[in-house]
Amino acid sequence: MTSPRPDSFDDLVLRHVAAALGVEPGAVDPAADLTGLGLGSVQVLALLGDLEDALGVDLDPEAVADNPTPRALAEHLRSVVDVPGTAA
Amino acid sequence: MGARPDHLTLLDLVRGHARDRGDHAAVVVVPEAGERRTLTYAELDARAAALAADLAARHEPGDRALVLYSATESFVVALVGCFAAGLVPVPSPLPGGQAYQRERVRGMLADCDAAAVLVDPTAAAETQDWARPLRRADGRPVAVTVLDAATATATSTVDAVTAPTRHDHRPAPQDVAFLQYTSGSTSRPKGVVVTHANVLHHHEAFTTALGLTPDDVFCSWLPGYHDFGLVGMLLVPLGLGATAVMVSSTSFLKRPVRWLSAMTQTRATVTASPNFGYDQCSRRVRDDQLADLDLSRLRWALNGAEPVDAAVLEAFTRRFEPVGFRGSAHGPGYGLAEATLTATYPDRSRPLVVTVDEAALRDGRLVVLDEESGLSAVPDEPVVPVAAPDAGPRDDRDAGPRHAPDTGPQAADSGAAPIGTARTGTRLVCCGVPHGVELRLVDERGETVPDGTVGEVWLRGGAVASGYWGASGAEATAETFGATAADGTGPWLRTGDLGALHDGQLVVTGRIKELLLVAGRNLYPYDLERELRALHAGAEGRPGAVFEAEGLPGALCAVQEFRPTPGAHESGGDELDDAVRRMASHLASVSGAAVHDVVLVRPGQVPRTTSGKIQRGRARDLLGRGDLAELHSLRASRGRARTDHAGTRP
Repeated sequence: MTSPRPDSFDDLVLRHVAAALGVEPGAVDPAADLTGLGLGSVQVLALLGDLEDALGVDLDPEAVADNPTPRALAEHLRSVVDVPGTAA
Repeated sequence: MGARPDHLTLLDLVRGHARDRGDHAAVVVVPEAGERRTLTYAELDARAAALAADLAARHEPGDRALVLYSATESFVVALVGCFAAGLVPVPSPLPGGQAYQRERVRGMLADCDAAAVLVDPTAAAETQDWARPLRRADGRPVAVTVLDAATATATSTVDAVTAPTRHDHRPAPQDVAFLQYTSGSTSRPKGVVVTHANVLHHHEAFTTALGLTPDDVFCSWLPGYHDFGLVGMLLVPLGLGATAVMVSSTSFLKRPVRWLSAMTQTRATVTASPNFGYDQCSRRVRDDQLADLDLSRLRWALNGAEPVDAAVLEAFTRRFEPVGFRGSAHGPGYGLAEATLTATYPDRSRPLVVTVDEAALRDGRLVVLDEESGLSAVPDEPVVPVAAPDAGPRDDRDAGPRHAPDTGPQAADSGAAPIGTARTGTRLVCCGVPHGVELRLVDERGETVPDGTVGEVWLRGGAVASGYWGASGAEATAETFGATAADGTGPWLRTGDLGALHDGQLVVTGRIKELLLVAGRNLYPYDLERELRALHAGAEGRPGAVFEAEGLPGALCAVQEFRPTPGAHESGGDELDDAVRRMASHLASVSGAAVHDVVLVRPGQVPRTTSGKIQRGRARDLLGRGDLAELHSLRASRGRARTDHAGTRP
């Protein structure tokens, strides 16, 4: 979780989502809603916390509501991290 | 104990603390970022009085005020301010961004016909937008009052009257103190009517049973609209003159270590959480975060609001013993909002976990094969006040010394160890002994069952509320609060929970009522099933069953009968995929729980009784055995994604 910044935000998000669901990263559809994959709100907040730790940024709790799929969330992370100091 | 609830209210106690220990911290807020903030008893009293003057000028005594929860001192000011104005606070979550959340809060507001909404400045704009179109039963608008922390006065959207004088209303014990809405249900909000007398009866029992003092420091991430958070972690410390430390639940759920850090920094002695909170800590706090923690001052880690898992208690002890946590601090209890909060309290002189015969349990008998008294190798702090009166009987009752040095390792593998016969054991956590209430376990005729026999938990006493709010709750009130026992006594509160007594302790074994307790929330399967049916034309009007996944407490499963759109064979896979994901999404959003699976089955597959009642337990068994004609499932849809996605990976 304190690993260096990953090359791919998509891989990072998929890895964390897969861990929460207890499946392989390859089994997660990057275009599916996280809640549609079965993630409860408790798990979604845990995911946000883990992503914050991994990237060293602060994320708004609404980040997932606004970017509900792994792909959209990865895109959001990219935009947050690309501009240092500006949290979503 | 005994006389006080008949003469005093919590407000009298708080005003007394403002006089006698005005500089003592009443509330400490640990924000996600930035400095801790402290509100002393004197400040709390002054701000509450100012708010009360403002509210009393614009509202009638007895009017309900929705108090929207933020983990800030303004929430506490609003509660006390409502008491002092003679208004009835109704703690509530913020309306939030999701449609179902807004619908839920609107349902509560309509059910109690609230005259006012009180909100922290941080959520003022969105709340005003949300409340603008709302009307009371008589057509008047709902007044939104923003609790302004900076100026220590309230600013209101509706004709603010400046009333500089202190408002000195003194509620009577029989007056309603607050309404506690219990379920996540959108269709049938039920507000438990808790009087000031209920609050103080409960207060006396809670503080006496747990040996609490004004020097205790309570720390919790539980939201203040939850009975455990509101009563146990705010009203109890306020009544004592102790300190309540507030951590936001969002902050905790993102990083569980923040709860433990807040306890470390504030030297907390008492905390509380449903089972899953302790589980989150054991699984998600990292090794490098342990160094900054010190949980050695913690006397009680109370545990309730959902079934308590012995393995979770053990894992927490093992994980946090190195930073001073004592296994003896685990305090599983039993209670419900209908009894203000707690009915049975942990008792350190009695076993914490029992291993019982599984076959006998299925027959409604509690046959104890083994007892475990402690989960920790670290001895009790010798100065714990509650330990003293129990010191005598405890040695007689226990089979051995409670904190023997080998208790920890023994507990760790005792799931298999001491049974020794062919009988299969299941481990149950004991939920303590009743205080402040009379507890009976009864059969379906209202007859008290013998010790060691499973019966429904019935309660009565000063902490038991009088019923649910309003005419809409009358039927539920009669059904739940109006039971008569076979010996003619009553009224009793029927809890719907099943349990047995062992050595004076309540062991909860299950439920009669169809109620799911997940992620600290109460959910009615009936509501969830009705909502799932409405999500897709293929499911409309067809039965479904929602239940906890086998072997995965806290995770939900749904089985829903489904008829695919005729002639849509080519795209049939997409339609089914879409349906399971929409249903999983709804379940996850509304419950907050993880969704293990959503299974679409052919019409006629969901088991029902001859009268049409859904058999959820049987649906779970059939699903587990693979005996349902599945059309599609969430798990299969994940598998599909794996195949689709696998092709795109290097």
